[in-house]
Amino acid sequence: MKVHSSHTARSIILLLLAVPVVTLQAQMNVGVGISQQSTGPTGTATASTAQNSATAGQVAATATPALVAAPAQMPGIVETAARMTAQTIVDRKKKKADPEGYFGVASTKIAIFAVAAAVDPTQAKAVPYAAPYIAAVETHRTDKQVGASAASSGSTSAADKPGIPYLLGLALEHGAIAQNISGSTLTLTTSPYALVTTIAEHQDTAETYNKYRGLTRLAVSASYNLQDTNDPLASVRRQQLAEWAVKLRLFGDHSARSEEAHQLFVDTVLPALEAKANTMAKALNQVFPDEWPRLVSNFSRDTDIRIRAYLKNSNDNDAAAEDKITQIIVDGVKDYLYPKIDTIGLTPDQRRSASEFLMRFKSDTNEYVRSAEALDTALKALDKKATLTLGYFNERGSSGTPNYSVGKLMFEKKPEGFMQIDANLSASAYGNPDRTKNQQTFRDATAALQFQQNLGRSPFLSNPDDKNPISLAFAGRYERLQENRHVPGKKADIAVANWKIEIPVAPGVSLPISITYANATELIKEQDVRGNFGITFDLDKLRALATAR
Amino acid sequence: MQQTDTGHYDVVQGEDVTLTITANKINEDVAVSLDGKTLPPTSSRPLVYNFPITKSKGAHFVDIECHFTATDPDDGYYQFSVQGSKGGGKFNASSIRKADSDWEAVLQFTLP
Repeated sequence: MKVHSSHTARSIILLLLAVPVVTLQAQMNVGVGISQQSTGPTGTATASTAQNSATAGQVAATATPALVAAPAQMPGIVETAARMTAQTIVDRKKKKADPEGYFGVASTKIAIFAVAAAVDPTQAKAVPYAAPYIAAVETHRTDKQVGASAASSGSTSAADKPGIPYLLGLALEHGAIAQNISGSTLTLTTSPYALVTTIAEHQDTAETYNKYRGLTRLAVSASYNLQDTNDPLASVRRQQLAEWAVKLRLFGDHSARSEEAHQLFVDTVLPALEAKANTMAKALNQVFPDEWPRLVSNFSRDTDIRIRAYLKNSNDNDAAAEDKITQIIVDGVKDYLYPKIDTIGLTPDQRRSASEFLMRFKSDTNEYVRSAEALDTALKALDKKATLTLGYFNERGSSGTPNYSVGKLMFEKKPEGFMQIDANLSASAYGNPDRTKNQQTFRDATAALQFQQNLGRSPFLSNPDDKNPISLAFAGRYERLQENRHVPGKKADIAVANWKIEIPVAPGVSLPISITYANATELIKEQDVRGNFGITFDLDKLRALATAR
Repeated sequence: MQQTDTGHYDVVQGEDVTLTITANKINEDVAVSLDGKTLPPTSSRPLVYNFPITKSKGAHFVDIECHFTATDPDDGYYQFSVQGSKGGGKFNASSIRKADSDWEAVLQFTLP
């Protein structure tokens, strides 16, 4: 037991005036040597340490403040609280995300846990300081078409996906699905909503999202024929434009920001979250009446100043910084809070509230975790619902073909216990058909169907937060090309089978490799087997991982 | 109102407090309690909460419980700001981020 000598005389005077139940506490303070473990939360020394797990019902009903011994050793829950707070501050410092501001909103919670752990040390050992729920980083989306469409010369895909990228997608591909001239393309994809949020006055808040929600339905993309694969962005010029496209999601906003997702939160998690908030605020109100708030405020202010000074002057590595900030917080509890509980004491109501708080906080936290996991399950089910997107593609005519426009419907569904299904229906038309080549305004109609199976997390990813899976897809595509009718050496009915594996090789970076068989190409009536490959960069995933805990 | 640190404010009896919570890149999945009773927002996007300082001593405590789903981006966060009706201006009251180890924040409004 730590003896605060400067407080001892005052303690003895207080104890002489207090009720007999604190007699042994007084002996502790003058160094008789009774261990902390022999003192219960009421200040009553008990014969056995096993009986010190006083519950609210065991607390004596008296209005007289009784002294509570400061723990001989810092309680584990306080160490945990300090460590978690330090981790957050260090993590925020790395990300330049207001590390100095965090302690102020965490300190009052640390204070009540410190006092409650002194009142009821046994109960405190069984309580988690923060909910053991970690929401995974979002890197597993496989619904976005980051590469070029099947019509492009460099595409590795036989079917297009309907998902709308949030930020920016970039793909380099070499191959061709429907043409007999392989090319290399660079595809850039983004959403107009991402552009809106780059404007300073439109941060990506719930307000902005609600105001410009419609723009999240839209995606725009451009594919460029690559001239110099060593400098892909040099090809981002109008002359090299191979395809541009606009996509509009007709239905199926399954994002965590959708109205449907928020309603699931309201139904599933909000009651538990409100109960948890009420338990904390009620306990603070009851355990920290009168002069206590000022003590807590001083503890917070002065510890905050010490943390800020450390952050300003330190060049320590993360582990050392975490250790030092943890120690600053623990010292703050030791210097500001614990000297007070064994001098000004706590009333039975305060002690009862502190003890009850620990029990309720634990059960509320458990309920919150259960509901949060239920919500994640519900959101996964939401994500599996069908999506339908309408796309307009302007193909900039390659291999002697004039420009033409494609209208395409892209459908996706992820049935429970089955593969992801993507289906496309499209039709295309020439703006200026070349009659000498048997072209009419109507060019072709296509249908494509793809089944995709995720094979689990890629073994090439070193970041444990990165859940991006290897995906294996099989697609079939049929095209009726009107201009090839009755033309010797050409085939109007073109069938394509495509096997594609996409392997995440680094955060946000995937390597698509495909093998394609075609009974003919658009230009020649010959069977064709080819291998295609590429590399895609998904900045949504890169961003998620860059900011991951 | 005076700010002691991002979570602690000195107030006077009769002062009206406005707490604003702005959700960035996420939905407004938040619960707020004042002294143990759920505090409903007066408006949303951003969430705004109003309450009067009714005590003459001690403090009012506001607990903010934030939630992030697995599908929220990891750089999603809630930003808090606080303003009192008796002057002092609008204070930045820090934030809770998905990457933080705890998604709970406590604001304390202390009387003299």
